[in-house]
Amino acid sequence: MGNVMPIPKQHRIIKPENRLQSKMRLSKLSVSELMAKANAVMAAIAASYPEWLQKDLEKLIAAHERLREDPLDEAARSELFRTAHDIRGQAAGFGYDLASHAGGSLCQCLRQRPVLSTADLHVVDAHINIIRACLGQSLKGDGGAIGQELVAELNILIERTKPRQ
Amino acid sequence: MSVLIIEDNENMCRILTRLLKSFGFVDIRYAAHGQMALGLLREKGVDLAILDWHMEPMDGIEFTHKIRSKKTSPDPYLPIILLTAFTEMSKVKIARDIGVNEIMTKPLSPEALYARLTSIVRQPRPYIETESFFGPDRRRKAQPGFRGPYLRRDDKKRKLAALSG
Repeated sequence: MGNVMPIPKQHRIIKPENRLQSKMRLSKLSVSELMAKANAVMAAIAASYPEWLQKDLEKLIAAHERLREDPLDEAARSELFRTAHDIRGQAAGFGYDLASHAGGSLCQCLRQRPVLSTADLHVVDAHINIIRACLGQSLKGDGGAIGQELVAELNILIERTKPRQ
Repeated sequence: MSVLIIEDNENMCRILTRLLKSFGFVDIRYAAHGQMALGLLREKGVDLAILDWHMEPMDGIEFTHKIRSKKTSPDPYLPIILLTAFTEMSKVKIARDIGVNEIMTKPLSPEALYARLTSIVRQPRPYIETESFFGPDRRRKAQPGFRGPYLRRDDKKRKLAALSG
């Protein structure tokens, strides 16, 4: 799909009945009260997030192990991508920005490397190690000085093993 | 008001469910992927769908395409909020041009979810039908200084009217 929208010769504007307006019976709380309630919900979920992240980490480790045995294992590759993608989408919402960054970076590496060499698997391992460190050392936010160092090392490794165009 | 969550990640389903409940939603249904959701919608309609982009075997984009295909869709006007960890502009354009009503990037925040829900309910955009597109109007706001290109037939009239003062 291109980015340029085709020029429509004819168009029709349709205004369907707003069937939601009459059904929308949200809480009687004010918006600020609702947000306080919703943020309390997020804080409660955040307490259990390390357990979720631990399970995702175990999935990453298992998929990585399977790929070490067979780098062409598509199911393992798919599991690795899917789990990294989930971490990318969830971790930052609960304060684990560095883990989220590692998840996103792993997805990007997998997109750029259709076949995983030994060096690529080392890159995957480096991503997993960052997420492991986030949990083991409770690295929240960008992980501070340790986090910056880990990201810098990871970036060097990614650059060194980057596939040539 | 019924909401269908189409998401294959249990944790994200939990987060969405608890946030929606905190906003006062009661009727919340689930499907693990687009294909399952289409089956559910053919049996019983819902008022709104919140779905992930990345799912197998049918992802959020293919699901939206099938929903906006008027001849075969169970509900071509179904309001759709797409969740994605992909933040590149090219991805946003794909989602917009396939007919998604609202896009929400992960990590999820209560404020962002609430804003999109209220936008769909209180400020619904008209639907546009052309030879190549059917979905919510991709124009969100009038730009006073807009200099073209003028794509719609009505635009030419507007342009002439503006020129003639």
